[in-house]
Order: sequence, then structure tokens, then C-alpha cells
Amino acid sequence: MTFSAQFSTAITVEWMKFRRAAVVLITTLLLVVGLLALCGGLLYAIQTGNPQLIAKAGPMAAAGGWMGIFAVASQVVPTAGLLAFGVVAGWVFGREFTNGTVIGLFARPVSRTAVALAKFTILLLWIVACTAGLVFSLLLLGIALRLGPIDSGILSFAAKLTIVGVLTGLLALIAGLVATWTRGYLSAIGTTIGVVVLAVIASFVGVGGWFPFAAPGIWAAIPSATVPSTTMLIQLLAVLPVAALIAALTVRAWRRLQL
Amino acid sequence: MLDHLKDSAIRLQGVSKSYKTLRALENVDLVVAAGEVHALVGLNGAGKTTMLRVLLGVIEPDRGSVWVRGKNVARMASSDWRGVGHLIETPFAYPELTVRANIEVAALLSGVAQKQAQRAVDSIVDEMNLGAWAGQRMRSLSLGNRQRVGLAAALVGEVQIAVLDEPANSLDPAGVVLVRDAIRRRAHEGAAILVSSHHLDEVARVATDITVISTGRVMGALEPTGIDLERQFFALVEADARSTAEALHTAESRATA
Repeated sequence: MTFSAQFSTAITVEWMKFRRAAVVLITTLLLVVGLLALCGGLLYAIQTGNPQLIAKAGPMAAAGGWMGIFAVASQVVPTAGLLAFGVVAGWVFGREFTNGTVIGLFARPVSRTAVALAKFTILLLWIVACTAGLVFSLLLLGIALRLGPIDSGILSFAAKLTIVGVLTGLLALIAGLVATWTRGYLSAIGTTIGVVVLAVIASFVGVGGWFPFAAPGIWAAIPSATVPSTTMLIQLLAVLPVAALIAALTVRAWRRLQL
Repeated sequence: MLDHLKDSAIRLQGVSKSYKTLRALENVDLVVAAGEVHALVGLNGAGKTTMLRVLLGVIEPDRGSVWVRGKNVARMASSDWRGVGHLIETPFAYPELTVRANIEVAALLSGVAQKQAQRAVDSIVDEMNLGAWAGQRMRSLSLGNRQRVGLAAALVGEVQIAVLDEPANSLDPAGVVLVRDAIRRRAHEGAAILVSSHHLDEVARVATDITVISTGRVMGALEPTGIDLERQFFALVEADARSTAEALHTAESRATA
């Protein structure tokens, strides 16, 4: 069996499990529907002139309209995305240990390397699809609320939010590595929460941009959809090697796994 | 030596494994040839499951070597595992999938081509009498039926080597007969079967060879058709207990001298 045949089989098997998993469905719905409800609710509160919520939403969101929707989403996606994507990434890898199925992945013509790569591939596709679905739903919400025509400025905000969501998802893959190292998904979920807390602390103390887990959130908080500064761009691009390292370490751990 | 190794489907040679101070396996030799049903019997904690885990590469031995169809497990390519089915500890089944889907997953991971997978699944579902539950999700099944699914996952496709840890666990009498027949059928077709059990009566009905293991050591063999197997089994286990006690006593005497 060639490696490409192993990978193809592993993709088929992982997709069978992924698409039927309640945790994936619930997390996707919570992320997309929850964010829509939050954006819609905040816009409604702003329109009705609730001073407390206007203060909490910040100046950009308080302006309402398309800007308000994307301002709220930009605040929520880096944190909620890290949690949601982290929970699913941790579950995808950790459930094999928790359910006791990992032993069934030994002594197979489809290697554990192929299985781990297939898990990452499915997760990446889901993260991209989830983020795209989220942004598309926000655009539909704006249309439904008659916030005005979608111009290039709105599309720039949409593109920025998509990039923020995908970068956040890439970072959340660390939950898969922790789940593998600790042989279960509970510690992976704990780690995800810990990473969120660390990202917030890093932002507060002013080093957030150089802490890759905080960089997408810091960029998202900048009230502009223009191309980021060179420093910010480097900080954002640093997410890619970090994610690649996480993936490489996870695949290595799966290849060398001993129970 | 290599020619000899090639003759056997499974061979463990001088295998030892310890967990910190706990000796799990000590200098274990075992050979299973094609067409044999080889049973490992021992009390709980004797080292049966550890031996099966070492055989499948789940853990590496501290010493010794493990060979499957003439290939050293430590250096085996994943494709060399084609035709090897196993059930160790937990049935290989995902709660969110149906019985059919679970067996299909096992078939695909065992190297059964996607085009042939449905036929292979149909065949094993029929053999394990799982038709009535084929569309049900695993989480809704009884313990016995989960075990049947685990066995189906281990035996789906053209199995040349089957490694089964306590295959009759949780099964009702009808299930036990099904498993017995499935094992016999595959051995008759030339497969090498290694089963572990602590039910002597059950393994005596199906095994061609019985190896007794105690505190990680091979204590001897029993003849499946022999009389009063239970008494012979306990004689071997007690011999192990005596030799362990004597060794401890000698060590203590040397330490105090």
C-alpha cells in the first residue's frame, strides 16, 4: 500500500467519524449561531440606545452598521475560535485514547502517520469551511438587517475576519498535540483555555504581537481592514511556522506512539 | 535462523518487558504456525495482554525480538501488516458510528479495497449474526454485541493472522459458539490464530496448542485434548509461584549474608 493510498484511506475513515460526531456539529453551531446571535443582539441593543452595551461594545461597534457587525465579530472570533477549534482538535486526537480505539490503529497497513495527517487535513478543511461559513453568515445577517450595500470596504473586513479565523484555527491545533502527549482530550481542552488566558495576559502586558497565540486577536482589534504593518505582518506570519511545528510534533508523536 | 523464522506466522524470541520494577514478560519464546490456534492461558496479570501488545508493536520489548511472517516487527513497514487482524482490550469501534460503519472502518484500515469493503462487511456481519443491529449506533449496543462488533472488526477481510485477547469476553453462549466457529474456520483456511484467555475449558475446545503463562514467564504447554486440564494448569502456575518464592528467599539470604 503506497503512502498516498494509505492517506486516501485514512481521509475516508476520518471523514466518516468527523461528519457524524456530535461534538463537531454542536461546536460549529455554537460558533456560527452564537456569533450571529451576539452580533445581531448587540446591533439591536445599539439601535435601541442601551448605554451599558454601547460602552461594552467599544467605539467601533457602537457606530453600528456593517462596521459594528465586524467590530463585534473581530472581538469574539480570536477567543471563541481558539476555544471552539481547540475543543474539536483536542477531541479528534484525544478521543482515540479516551475511547480506547488507538490500539486498533496499530498493526495496520494504514500507518498512524497517515491517520494523523488525515486528522489534520480534515481539521484544516473544517476550520476554513467554518470560518468561511461564519463570515458568509455575517454578510447575510447584514443584508437581512438592511445595513446597506456590500462595498469593497465591507469585503476587506470580511477577508480580514476570514484570515483571523483561519490563523486562530491553525493555532488551536496545539490541542491535538497536547491530547496526544497526555493521552486524552480533557487536558487538551484545559490547555486551550490556558492558551486563551495567556494570549489575553500577553496582550495586556504589551508583548501580545510577538506571542503567536495572541497575534491574530491583536490584529483583529485594530479598527482597519487595510494591510497590516510590516511588524504586524511578521507577527501574523509567525503563526504559520508555529502551526507547522505543532503539526510536525503531533505526527512524530503518532508515528512513535507506544502505549 | 531466518529460514526457521519464515516458517512461522508469529514468533517471539527471548522477549522481556518490565514496567519500572514490575516484570511483565521474561525471556518469552513463542511460535505460532499457519493453521494453528494457539491459546495463551494464565491468571489475571500473568502477562498475556502484554505479550499480545508487544507482538503488535503497541509496546517495544526491553529485550528479544518479535517476528511476524518472517519480518521483525521493530522494522516492519505498515504495509506488511496487511492480513493481520486483532482485538486487544477494547473493541475497535466508535460510538457515533453504526455497526456497519464501524466494521467498514476496520476493513478499510486493514487494507480491504473500498470496492470490496461492502462485500467484506456483509460477510462478517452475517457470520457474527449482527444483521439485526447493523444500522444501530455502537453506543446503543449491549456489551456482548459490542464484543461481537470488535471481533467482526478484527476478522473482516482475508485474515492470515488473528490476535484475539479474551475473545469470548461478555459473549452469551450463542456468541461463544459463533466465535469458536469463526476461529476454527479461519485456522482451517490456513490462518494463524493467537488467543489469550483465562477460560481453560473454552480454549481447550478450539485450540491446537496451549501455552501457560504465569508472572510473565512461559511455564509450559498443555495438551488441549488432555484430561483434567485445570489441575495441570494449576500445577504449572504453582510451580512458578514456588520458584519465584525460592528465588526471593535466595536473594534475601544473600543480602543478609
